[in-house]
Amino acid sequence: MPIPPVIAKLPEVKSALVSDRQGGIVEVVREREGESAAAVVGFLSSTLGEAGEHLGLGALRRIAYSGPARGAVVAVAGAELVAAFVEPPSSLPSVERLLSGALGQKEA
Amino acid sequence: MAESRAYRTPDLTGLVGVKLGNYRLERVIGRGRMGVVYLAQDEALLRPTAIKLLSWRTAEANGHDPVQWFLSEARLIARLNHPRVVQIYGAARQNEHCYIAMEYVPGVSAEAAVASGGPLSPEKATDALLQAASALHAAHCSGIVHRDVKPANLLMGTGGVVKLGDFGMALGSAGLWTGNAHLRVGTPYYTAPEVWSGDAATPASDIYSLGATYFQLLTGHPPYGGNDVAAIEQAHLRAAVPDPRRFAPDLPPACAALVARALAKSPRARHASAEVLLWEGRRVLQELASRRGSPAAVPAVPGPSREPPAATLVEKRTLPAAPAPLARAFGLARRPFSDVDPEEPYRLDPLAAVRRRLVGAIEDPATMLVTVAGGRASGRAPLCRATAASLRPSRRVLAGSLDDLAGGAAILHLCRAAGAPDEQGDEARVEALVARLSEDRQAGAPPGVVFLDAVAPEGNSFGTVAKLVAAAVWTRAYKVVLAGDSGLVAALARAGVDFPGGRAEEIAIPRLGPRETGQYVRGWLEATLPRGAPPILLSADAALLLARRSDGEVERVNCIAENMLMLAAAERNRVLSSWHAWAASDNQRWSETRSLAEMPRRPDHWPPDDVVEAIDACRRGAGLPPWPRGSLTGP
Repeated sequence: MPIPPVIAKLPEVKSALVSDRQGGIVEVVREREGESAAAVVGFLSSTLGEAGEHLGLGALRRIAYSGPARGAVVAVAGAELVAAFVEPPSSLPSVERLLSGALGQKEA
Repeated sequence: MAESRAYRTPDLTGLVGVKLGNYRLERVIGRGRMGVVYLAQDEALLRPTAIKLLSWRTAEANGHDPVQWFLSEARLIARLNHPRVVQIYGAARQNEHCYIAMEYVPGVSAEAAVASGGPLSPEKATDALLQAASALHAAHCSGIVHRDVKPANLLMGTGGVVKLGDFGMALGSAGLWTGNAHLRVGTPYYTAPEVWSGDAATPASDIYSLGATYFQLLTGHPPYGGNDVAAIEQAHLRAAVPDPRRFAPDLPPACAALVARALAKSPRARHASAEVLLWEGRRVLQELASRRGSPAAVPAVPGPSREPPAATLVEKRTLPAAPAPLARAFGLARRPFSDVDPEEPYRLDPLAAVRRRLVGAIEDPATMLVTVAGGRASGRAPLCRATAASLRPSRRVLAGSLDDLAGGAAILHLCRAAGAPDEQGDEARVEALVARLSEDRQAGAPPGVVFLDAVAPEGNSFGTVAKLVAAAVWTRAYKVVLAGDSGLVAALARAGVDFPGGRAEEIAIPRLGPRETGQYVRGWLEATLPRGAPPILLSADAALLLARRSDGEVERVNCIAENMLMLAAAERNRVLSSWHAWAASDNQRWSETRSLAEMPRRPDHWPPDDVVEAIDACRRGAGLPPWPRGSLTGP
């Protein structure tokens, strides 16, 4: 799938990518290290997915990570993962909501 | 001829006290049709020596020039240098006496031993057979046919040593084409049917005679007894091969089977060589030992030492520590992608499946040969090392490589690792090794395993390899694992090795596909990172490129993957990407030749177009979409 335009166009989204579940890069915008980032995203989703299963959280849908200067959101979209890198991190909740909407994910 | 006929026949039995050269004759210890044998003292070297004096009359009666006949025996024996052949010290003529000075073997002949003590035990008889077969094989290899193998010519010395003596009737290879070869010589009880028929004596007729000798050692009787030579002749020619258990009912079937084969009427139905007879004899000894449930009588075949299994090539290697740059950058204690680690490369399929199959074949009692086919970098060597290491606690495992050492040196290495004596020449080395491994087997150990890497059918050493395999098949004392080119079993068959009652298993090492390459690299990283350390990731495209640039050969994967780690260490990066896979494709391990400061630098723009094309080719092969293009700035 392509990166949702609504995400790619946001000024606070500094870069974004789509990868497969194994971390193979499929699509990328404004990211010089897209291949490595995709590998990390793939690792992150598989590791946290396993952790979620152990904790009884159900299937992984989204991961949000907020650092001091940047944040990131990774969402599961079928067989792929969509990741957006956000600056400043305070914008992360709004990007999360937009991404969920773009992917048709409903909040419980 | 005229000169020799001028001699008169002397009385050869009344020469006690006479000095011939350095030898003072002390007493008569034997009489044969060709002369008289004295025990003498070598007064120069102060050692007992056997002196054989020629009887002119007998020689002349056979129509031969006596001196030439005598010297021909001396020259024949002098060509042999074998611990189980009575050695010759010299030959000379003094006045009217022609004599050969020979090694004195204290003890009695096998004939005398049986006559005085009755049949030998199956173990002792088989051991004597082995030693005589070993001597005969050496003679045959030198082009010599003994033509008079019989119990009287097996000299049983101290410590169970048996030596083959009296080559007085022997023919060298040149003689096989003369009229002499067709003279029926030998002793009727032990003479092969084809020789009775007037054919030339051959190595096969010596094997028959040794079989008849073995029969007598086991039973106390020759296979066809009686005093009527014509009846004996007819029995050799036409009678069914007698079962020695008629005389010795408790004799193990293995002994009877060996007799039956050696005494086959047709030379082609007998053992193909004295060496094959020797190998089958070793197997019989093993069976005798296992039948009794205790170690067999220690065979006196020359020399193996009895220390515990010696170090081998495998054991001398130690598991390496991680190269310093990788230890510092990633906290690695053990070296990942090592080609000497006994376990890691084979934890994951398809290599794990290959290893399971290899171990299964070695454990299968019917399988005596396993071949592991793969290229030099296929991982066959580490696979064999890993398997050898896992087998070692329970059995003797020897390993060598024809890459490291030429054939003869490789066999010598195996001999030394096994504690077998150093011998000259491949033949003797293989024999010593087989003897050593057979000895283990007789002592109740499971069959040993000999690993030999870098074997090629067209290699100079292939004949030696074939002999090692043939001996394994016959003796069942050990198994052979040959790693190298494909088609080794067919090449062995062309070299005359077959597998009666045994199996040969051929295993091919598959190349790693992209997915398997990724699993393999990740498996290594996981296994060598310390607990709790952050992971080192391998991107999907890095795995694809690595598989392509290594051709899926494990040792190439190992080398490139370690170089990728070096690059990543220089960048302080824990993600291995297509850049690392592309730049690290080298045949050398950089950790051994370069510092981190000398690592290539990643270009500003990655990947360039030509690499994108290569990545796309890999992606197409894996059913993946092409590499995403031109989106650095985004929509």
